[in-house]
Parts: sequence; structure tokens; C-alpha cells
Amino acid sequence: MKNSLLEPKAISYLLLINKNPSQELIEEAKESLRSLESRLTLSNSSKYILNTIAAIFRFPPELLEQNKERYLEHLREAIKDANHDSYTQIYESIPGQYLKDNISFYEPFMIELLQNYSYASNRILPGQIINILNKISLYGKLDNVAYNLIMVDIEKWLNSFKPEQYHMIIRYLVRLRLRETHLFDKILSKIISSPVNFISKLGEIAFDFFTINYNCEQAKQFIATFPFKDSLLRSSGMVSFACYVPILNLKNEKDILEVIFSRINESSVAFKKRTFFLYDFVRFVYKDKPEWTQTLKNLIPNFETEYQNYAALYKGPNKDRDFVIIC
Amino acid sequence: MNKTSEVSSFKLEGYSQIRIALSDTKSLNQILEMFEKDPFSFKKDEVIAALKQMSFLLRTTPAYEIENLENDERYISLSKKMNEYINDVEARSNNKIEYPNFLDIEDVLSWIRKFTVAGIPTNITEENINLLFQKAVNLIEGNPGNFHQLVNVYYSLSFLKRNTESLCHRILTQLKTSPKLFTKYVALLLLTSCTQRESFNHYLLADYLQNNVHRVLDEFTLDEKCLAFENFARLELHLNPPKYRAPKINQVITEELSQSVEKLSSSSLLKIVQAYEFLPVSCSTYLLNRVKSSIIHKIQAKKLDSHVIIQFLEEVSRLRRNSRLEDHEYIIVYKEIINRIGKDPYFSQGKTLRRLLEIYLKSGVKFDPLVLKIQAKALELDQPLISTSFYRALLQTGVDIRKILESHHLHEISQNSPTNLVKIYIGYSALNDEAFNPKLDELREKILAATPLQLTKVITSISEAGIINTSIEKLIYEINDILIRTTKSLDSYVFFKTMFRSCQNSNIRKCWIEYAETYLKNLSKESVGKLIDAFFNFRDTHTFDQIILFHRILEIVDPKNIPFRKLLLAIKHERKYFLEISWLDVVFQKFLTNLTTWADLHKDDLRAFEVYGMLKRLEYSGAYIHPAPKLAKKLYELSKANQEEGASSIMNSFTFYLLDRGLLEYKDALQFYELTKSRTF
Repeated sequence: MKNSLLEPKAISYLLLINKNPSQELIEEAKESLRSLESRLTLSNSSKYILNTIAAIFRFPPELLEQNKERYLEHLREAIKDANHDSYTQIYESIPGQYLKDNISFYEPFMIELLQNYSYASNRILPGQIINILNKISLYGKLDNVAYNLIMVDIEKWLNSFKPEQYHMIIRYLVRLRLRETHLFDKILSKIISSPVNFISKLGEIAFDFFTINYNCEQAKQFIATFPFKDSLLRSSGMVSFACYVPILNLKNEKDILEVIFSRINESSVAFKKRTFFLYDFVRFVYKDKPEWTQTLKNLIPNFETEYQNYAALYKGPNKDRDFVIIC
Repeated sequence: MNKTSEVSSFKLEGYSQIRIALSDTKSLNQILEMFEKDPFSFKKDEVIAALKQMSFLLRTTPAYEIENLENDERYISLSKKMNEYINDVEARSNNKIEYPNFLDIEDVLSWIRKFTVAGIPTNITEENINLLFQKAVNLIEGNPGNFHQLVNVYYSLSFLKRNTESLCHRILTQLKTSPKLFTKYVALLLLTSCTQRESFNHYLLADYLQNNVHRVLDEFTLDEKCLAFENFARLELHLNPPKYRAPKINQVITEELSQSVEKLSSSSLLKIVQAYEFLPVSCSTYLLNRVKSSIIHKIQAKKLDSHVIIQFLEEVSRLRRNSRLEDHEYIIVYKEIINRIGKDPYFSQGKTLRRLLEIYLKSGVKFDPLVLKIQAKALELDQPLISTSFYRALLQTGVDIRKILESHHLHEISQNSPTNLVKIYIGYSALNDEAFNPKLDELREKILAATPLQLTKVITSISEAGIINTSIEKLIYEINDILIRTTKSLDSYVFFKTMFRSCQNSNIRKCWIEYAETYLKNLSKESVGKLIDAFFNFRDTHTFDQIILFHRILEIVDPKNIPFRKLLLAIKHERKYFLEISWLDVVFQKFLTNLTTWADLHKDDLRAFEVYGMLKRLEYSGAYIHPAPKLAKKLYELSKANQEEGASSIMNSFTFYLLDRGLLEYKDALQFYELTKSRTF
């Protein structure tokens, strides 16, 4: 296995998982980066250049800052000859952690990649779409052309994704605040036709739908008749589900919440933000159900302090009425 | 191997009259007639010569003659005579009498291989096959000079699924020391052999072939290139070691073949279609598309035989959904078949029509004229066409099947087989008409009178029918009751296979789970192995209920008795398995978590290259859910501790696999980095 890109890949990985790397390691990384930079001039082959750029992108942005323009130039030249594999490889090489924390650094690269999505589109495979969408969602922006092409690609493979991948599509689109109702309707029909296949993701999907206020007739019907009491749904997903129920305006909302709350127990994994959302809602709408607020309080240790911190962070001056705004 | 070379391997001196006459025979029947006339003249040499000639003529023998061979007393007697001679050879060998020459052993092994592959029983005991194998190895060791004999023996034994590790290692070593030994003939034999076995050495040999075939590629004919293309695809090198890549050589062959598609024979075209079943999704389908359009064109121009058309449809149905034919292409093929039904005697056989209907239903493209044509043809047949696919297709088309069912003479049919009766039972039950209840009761009574072994076949027919209703469910319950009562009369493999096949809905599954909780808790390791074999040796896809049942039983049995290596290899080999189970969210997650736990109990059974292949298969299926990274890390740790000698390159690739997915521990990453720096691999 002689591969000159292995060494840079190994050292960049060491930097990624070690938050306090030694000076010696940093120096070695710089050396490795220099050898990669020299590779960029060795060949005119686009595939070769893109492979090298992919290896470079694995390094922390602080080390790349100095020659950022040069990388951009090479990327711009080579990307037009990219096939779907090398194109995806570039996205995959950027560590999500770096991208999330350094949006402005990666912005020109992401713009370039998005503008050239058409070169990879059409032949791209389901798993690759998911990987690309993940990075785009972390970046947080999407241009119109790329958006349309990605949607076409997703539609093309819509029957080939796995339950996990459907969940990821929803998650990433929601992260981009894209309320793709047409697509979500189709995915929801798949979920409704066989909910047991999605059982461990249902809570998360429900919360994602809640985040973008996705509300449709089939969702209402599904939730209104879902057997919360007997389902295999884990108690950890119940809080997420309970967040989604209020926005559907169901006639049997209270009954459903009653069942859901009966299944929430102290062993339920509770995400703070979701619990506080629900806490706000229950406190104001179901004043006759103090046991529900108590159930939620039991989920998080030091609830009052945590809630105050949350309120200070997320809630505006009109604290008592902002539940609707959050929805 | 052509006839001249086959004949030249005989010593002409001292040839008996019988052997000379045998070499002139033109059919299997002729050979068997000779044996029948004078069986006592057939001594060891004559028996070997007869079997050798039979295996030579096998390719040109019509299928019906081959099918009858299994029950032909003359053949049984001839092959048993061979078995006795092998025993004799052993006796003589123990008395240190000179052992027969190597060519005899090679010929016998070659006959066993050809007949086993063709599905004809050889009547040679396992012990005797092992004995021949051992003698062959001993002779090779005594005379290491003849490389071709070594390759021939390896070729035969690979097909017979024997352990050929040492032979493989020897071949690889000789090829590396004397590259001139690598000829076109050797390349083709070795390549075909590699696809039959799975072990570390075989993949090393496959890798050698991949890197060296280009040296002899120009000598290959187009058809041989297709064979090489298919075999390289079958090796699934993108999942397997040593370098975990898609075969580069196939890119070279693809380019050459793409330009010569029109010149390829029909069998070669089918080989290319077959190859795409194994190639990764990322492989370009350019060649496949060209082949498909070439075949469609040939069908339109009436240049293809009917059996090739059926085989083509069958091969295409095994491809990934988006690689199959377009709807309009199916219609073109169906229209041509309609033209041929009635004219071509091939379509006058009930077997062909049944096969065609199965393919038709699997394609999912509805074309009523074809079904109606088959219906018309079926009425002309001497024997009634009893097939659940037939009934299903007719029901889909809206044809009333009552008259067809009533035309079957139940009495005659019941004399033949309960499997036919159950097909008629399924047909009546699909009508969902209470008026047929007495008929159903009568049929059920007759079916249940069958022996347990026949009942297992009845269950197979039910599962293949793809129809389930209350009447069928009732029948399954009653058969299951009988089978459970008579478990001892059945081989456990057959029993488990029937159990899975009968699991057609959640009610039946629950009953089997109850049974398993009571009776299968203390299953031995061997029996769990048979359970695994029974589950994975399915021709069609598994139903959700079958998958749930299998995993529940694995949870019920003692984890120490699970043959872990066998399980890993089985899920690695079964291409559709991860795709199937990925739709059962909770079961899949639980299974991956269980694998992580069980791995600890069976750490000695873990081989890095097998584990890696399994993880690649899992990832390749797209079903990479959250317990998977944990499983990968665990299996990596255990494989590292259990590292085989000479497998460091595999471990390095495994390490990189984890690194690329952000799963590698810091200390391992540091170690890997030091390795890359020193460039020691």
C-alpha cells in the first residue's frame, strides 16, 4: 500500500482528534502540508490535483490560512473536470468540526464547490448526496442552482435511500431551514406505510418537523392515530414527539399528550432545549396538568437553574408569550 | 481442453480394445451401453477412461439426458465401481504397493468436479474425495516440477470446495519465482478457481492475477476476456483484500469489450450481464448498457435462441433495480416471446413456461398479451401447467382461473406429488370464495397425508408462491405441527430451512418464536451452524418475518454456541442481506449491538480480512447506522490482537479504514502515522 497521501491523512487526523497537539507534531504537519503543496504543481491532471486538495482540506484551517488563495485557484481550475467521486471526496475531506467553527474561512471554497455541483450531479450516488448535504448544512447556505440540482438528485434516488438516510435528508434540510414540503410529504408517506422501519428515528424526525413547522393533513392523521401507548417507540423519543404534537392542532391533542406523558420517565434522555420548549407550552396551555410540568422538571437535574440559563440565552423580553414565536 | 489434448494424455501403448472404443463414443448413453453389455471387462483403467470420456461429452449432452443420469442404474453402478477402486487404491497404498500415476487421479478429480458442478451425483464418498486430494498433494510434493498439474488439481479442488490453502500458497510462490509459468491457460484456470474459494491466500493470488493478467491479455479471445471480466467481478475486490479496490483490470477489459460488443457470442454477453451483479455501484454501466441494447437489438432481429432470451431476462432480474431493463425494453422482449410461443418447441415445455412466468412476475412490468398467450399455450400441453406463478399472473390479468383449476384431475395429480396439490390449493384459496371450502378441505387432507420430507417441499412451494391468506396460513400451521412432531426424521438443516420458509406472516413467526424459546435454547454449535446455513441459503429475498425470526433465535441460543466466523462470512457473502435488514430498524440496531457483544466471546475466530470485508459490505449497502462504528472499532481491536502472520498489510488497510471514518484511537493513529512516515508498507 504505497500511497503518498497516507502520511498527510494520518497526521491531519492526529491534529483533528488531539485538541492540544505538541509543537513537534504541528511542525511535522506543516512539513507534510508543504510537500502536498509541491504536489499541486507536479501534475496537470485534475484528478491528481483534486486528490491533493482533498488531502490538504483535512488540515486545520489555521495551517491552511496562509496559502488559502492558492488552494482556491487550484480548486477552481480542477473542479470543472471533476467526476462525482472526486467532487464528493472534497466535501468529505473537510472535517465537519472545522467547517462549523470556521465558516468564513471555508466560504470561498464552498461557493466554488456549490457553483460546480452540476459537474457531479446526475451520476452522484445516494450515500454521496447525503455526505454532501451534511457539509452544506453545516456551512448553512445553498445557492439556487445547486439547490435545484440536489433536489433533482434526491428525487431520482428517493426509492433507494435507507430509513437512516431519509432521516438524514430531513435533518440536513431542516438545518438549512428548507421547508421542502413536497419532498417531506413523500418521505412521510414512506414512514406512514411502514413506521416500524423508522421507529428509532421517529422522535428525531418529529422534532425536525416541529423545527420548521411542517404541518400537513397526512402528518395530522398519522400522529392522531399513532399507537403511542403500545409502540416500540423508545421513551427517549417521547419528549421530541410531544414537541411536535401542539403544532398540528389536533382535536385529540390532550389525549395524545396524556399518553405520551405517561411514557416519559426519568430514564428518558432529555435534550434540554426540547424539554424547555415543551415545558413552556405545557405551563401556559395546560394549566390543569401540573403533573406534566413536574414530569419535565424531573428529567433535568437542577431544572430551575438550567431553565434560567436557557431563558437568558433564547428568550426575548416578552418571556411569557414567546412559545408561539419559537414555534 | 479440446478432445485432442484429452486423448493425448492417455498412453496409447497397451490400450485395451474397450478404451479405444470409449474414445470413439459420441454420447453418454453409448458409454453406459458399453458398460451395461460387459461390466466385468471394466477394470480400473477402463472405468477411469469411461468417466473421463463422460465428463468430456458432458458439455454437448442435452439437458434431459443429464437429468436422467442421476437415476440411471448403469451410471450409478459405474460410479460406485470407481468409488470401490479408490478404496482399493487406499488398501494397496497401505500395503506399500506402487501408487497409480498422477494422470489417473487428475482425471478422476476432473470428472468429479465437472459432474458436481453440473449437479450430478458422483457417488464418491467424502472420505474418498479427501483421499484422492491427499494423494494428489503427496504426488505433487514428490514431483514439484509440473506446475500445470498443480494448477489442474487446484482448479478441480476449488470447485469441490476443499481446503486448497497450501496449494494456493505453493502456486503463488512458484509464480513469483518463475513468472514465465504465467500463461493464458494458467491465468484463466486460476482466476476461475479463485472465485470458488475465500481465504487470505486466494485473495493474494487474485491480486497477483489482477496485476499480471495484462501480460497475457492480448492472447485472450474476446470470449475469454468476458470470462475474465466476469470472474474479476465475482471476486468483489472492492470488499476484499489485499488492497480493497475495484479491479482495475476490468476497466481495461471494459474498454476493449465496449468496442467489440457486436462480435461477442451470446454466452459472453450473458457473462457481462452476470458480472454487473457483483460490481460496485460506482462502476460505470456503459458496457452493461451497450450489452443490453445489443441483446435487445438481436432479439428484435430474431438472432438469439429462445433459451438465451430467458436466461438474459433471468440475469437482468438479478441486477440492481436501476440497472434492469426499461419498461419498453421488457415489452419488446415479451412481444418477441409471444411470436415464438407456438413456433419454437422450447416454449412447448411446461418448465419453460413456469420459468418465464416467474421472471415475468419478478420484473413487475405488466403485459397481459403475454399472459394470455401463455394461457392459450398451457391448454395445449400434454401435462397440465400447475404453477402458482401461472395462477398469480392470470389473476393479475383478470382471468378467471376456476376453469383451469377444475380441469386438473386431482386424483391423478395426487398420485404424483403433494407439491402439485398444494399449488392447486393455493390457486383455489386465492379465489377467496367460500364455495371452494370443501375442495380446499379435500386438498388439505391429501396434502397432510404426505411424508415429512414431502411436506418440507410443500412448504417450499408455498413460500415460492408469494400468496398468503387464511387458508394457506391454516395449512402451514398444520404442516408445522406435523414437522415439529417428526423433527427427528428430518435433517436439522432441512428442518430449519422449512421453518424459515414457512414463516410467511407475523402470526406464524410468533408461533415459531414460542417454539424456539422452548426447544432451541440449548442448540449445539453445529446446529446453530446449520441454522445459519439454512437462513442464508435462500434463493429469493427474505421476508421481514423470516429476518426477525432468525435474529430472535440467535438471541435465544447460547452466544457461545454461535459459530461467529461462519455468521460473519455468511452476512458478508449474502449481498442482499444488509439491504433487507436495514429496513428493520430496531432489529438491525440490536443485531449490530449483539455482534459487538458476541465478538468478545469468539475473538479467536476473527480474521482481519473477513471482518474487514463484512464491514465494507455493511457500509456498501448504505445501511451504516449508529451501532456500526462501535462494532467496527471492536472488531478492529480484536482482529489486531488476533493478527495472522503476514496479514500486516490487511491490518494497515483496516487501520486506515477507521482513520478515514474518524474512529481510530489516538494511540493507534500515532502508530499508523509512524508507519506511514517510515514507509514500511
